Amino acid sequence: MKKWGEVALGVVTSIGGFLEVGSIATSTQGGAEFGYRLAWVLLLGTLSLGFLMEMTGRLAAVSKRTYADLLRERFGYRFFLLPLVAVFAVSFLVLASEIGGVSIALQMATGISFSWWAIPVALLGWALLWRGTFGIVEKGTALLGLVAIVFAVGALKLHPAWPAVGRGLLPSAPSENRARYWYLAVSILGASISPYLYLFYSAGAIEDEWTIEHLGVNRVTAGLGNLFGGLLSVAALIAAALVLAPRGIRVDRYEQIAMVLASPLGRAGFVLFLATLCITCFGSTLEIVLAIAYMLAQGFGWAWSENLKPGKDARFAMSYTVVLLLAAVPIAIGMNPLALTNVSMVATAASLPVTVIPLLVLMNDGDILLNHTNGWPSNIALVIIALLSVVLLVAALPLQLLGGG
Amino acid sequence: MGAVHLAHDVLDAQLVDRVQEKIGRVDALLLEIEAGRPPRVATIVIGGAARAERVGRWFVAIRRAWRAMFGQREEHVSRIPFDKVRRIGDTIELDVEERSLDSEHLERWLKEHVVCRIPGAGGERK
Amino acid sequence: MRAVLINIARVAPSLALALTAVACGSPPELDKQLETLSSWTATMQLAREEHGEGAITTTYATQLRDGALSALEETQKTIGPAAHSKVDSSYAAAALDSLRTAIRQLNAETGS
Repeated sequence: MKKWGEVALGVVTSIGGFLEVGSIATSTQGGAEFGYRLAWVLLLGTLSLGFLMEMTGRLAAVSKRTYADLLRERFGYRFFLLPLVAVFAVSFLVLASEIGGVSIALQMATGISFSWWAIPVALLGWALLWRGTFGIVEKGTALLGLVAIVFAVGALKLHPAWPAVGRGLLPSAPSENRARYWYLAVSILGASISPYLYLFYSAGAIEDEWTIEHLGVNRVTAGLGNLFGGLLSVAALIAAALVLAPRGIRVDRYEQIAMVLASPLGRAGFVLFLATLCITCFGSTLEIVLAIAYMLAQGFGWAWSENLKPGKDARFAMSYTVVLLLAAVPIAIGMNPLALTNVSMVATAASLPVTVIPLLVLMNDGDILLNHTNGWPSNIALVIIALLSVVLLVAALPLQLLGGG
Repeated sequence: MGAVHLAHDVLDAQLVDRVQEKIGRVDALLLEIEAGRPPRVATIVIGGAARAERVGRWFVAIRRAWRAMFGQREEHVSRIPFDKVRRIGDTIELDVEERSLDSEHLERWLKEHVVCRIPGAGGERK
Repeated sequence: MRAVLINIARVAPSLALALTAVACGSPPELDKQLETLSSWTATMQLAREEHGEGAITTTYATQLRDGALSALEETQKTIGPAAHSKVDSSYAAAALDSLRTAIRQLNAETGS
């Protein structure tokens, strides 16, 4: 019984976790500019993330160590510095973007400019991490994050032509605006497959004291949670395709995205959009800063846990404190939140190889995983994802320059 | 204890103290080499320049410059005799107390001067 | 490894040139600017509809209007140089005009 409760919680957390400022921004930009044609990229990103999360979850449940722990232990300090620096830098940008997302939502609600909200939002997040347990952070953001379902409601109310949507789920290449199309594809993948997501998931498995008994829960959580989350992103794309694209509206500022739900659902849609943006971005803020602090603490061997009072893991607690407050600075000084988000998504996509390729080694190591190493389907999936990550690394900079808009 | 694969099982492993609290990772191992005798693993090193040295001289130089900028002169290194190792498994258990470790200096300093000055920080578990 | 480094060295000068060109930013092509103007015009029109239906708040509509205004101001500066013919200039003028009208209409709707 308890297991099913955990499964439900895990699935719900993943749904909320999937939709955040990056996926909202990239999906709606994609829908506004290319209709349903980029839906297959969301599908690809969702599947890839599902596989990666299942694997890092399995690593933690079987070896009792997180992915970050194993990166240090199995590859040594010298190699570990590479993913550490890459993940830190990229996640910091995404973190700043999420704070931007919450701030923009509050601006749209109150009229008070987004830059004023950055520090208060960071302080509130910090207070929750300082006083709250992992369970509170996890369950709170999960349950509140369910408000994101409004995207599905909005998309359905717009009566999309399902055959056309289906065609969008098949890979395609456009005949014009190619650079822009592939640029959006790369940013959608960066929004979907974010290292902080599977690093956090791995640490969360340890916080929740998962064991080999949880491998089934792990599979369902990683699979279903991301599936539902991916569907919500597709819903956002559909809504943008039906509200913005026919009118030739491009998303140049975050503010324009709210119209996507205000159109089909009226005032309720508008309010729930703001709530969704606010809550999912806030939840992601907490997740990302924890993921960064986890990686530092685990890599250096410090005491760490969201369930310990800060006095018992001072370096860990100071890490998330300092990083969170620093991450509020870009938005506080008025940096354009949408531009920040777009850059951070492409940077994320480019950073993937350093956290995907090591998994090829770890997931086949019988010493760590005992008899739960990857079967051939998982290995094939992992190789494909690894190749994809290398392609993204090579393509990211050229596409940012040519298609960055 | 049988055969121990140093690089694989000891280096970079998580260390815990007598009460199972995390006290860092094995950053370096020092071998004692005496003429006429086989080398023996004498010391586990935690902290200090040990990690930087494993990366390369350029990294050590950067670290030195960084520390000079912040006026840090003391090195907080722990050198623990290998015979303090109780168990080698997922973690390496050492028969030491966290309080006695110089490498935990930053943890204690932060706790006393920053963390515990902010309400809500004290106690064991939340 | 060495072969890769040599190839990068060969490509580097042209790459640096291309990057500089993009970074220094020639004004966006006329097409892109016209798209920006029509995008914001349509935004204003949709906002007027939604505000009329009570779907969006005046506070929010005002923010959209401010976004349109700054897009208008920016484009006004750069569209001149991008229009290379009389026909182009007339398109540009018409697009700017549409946006101004749309903004005025939204202002009327929201009473600001």
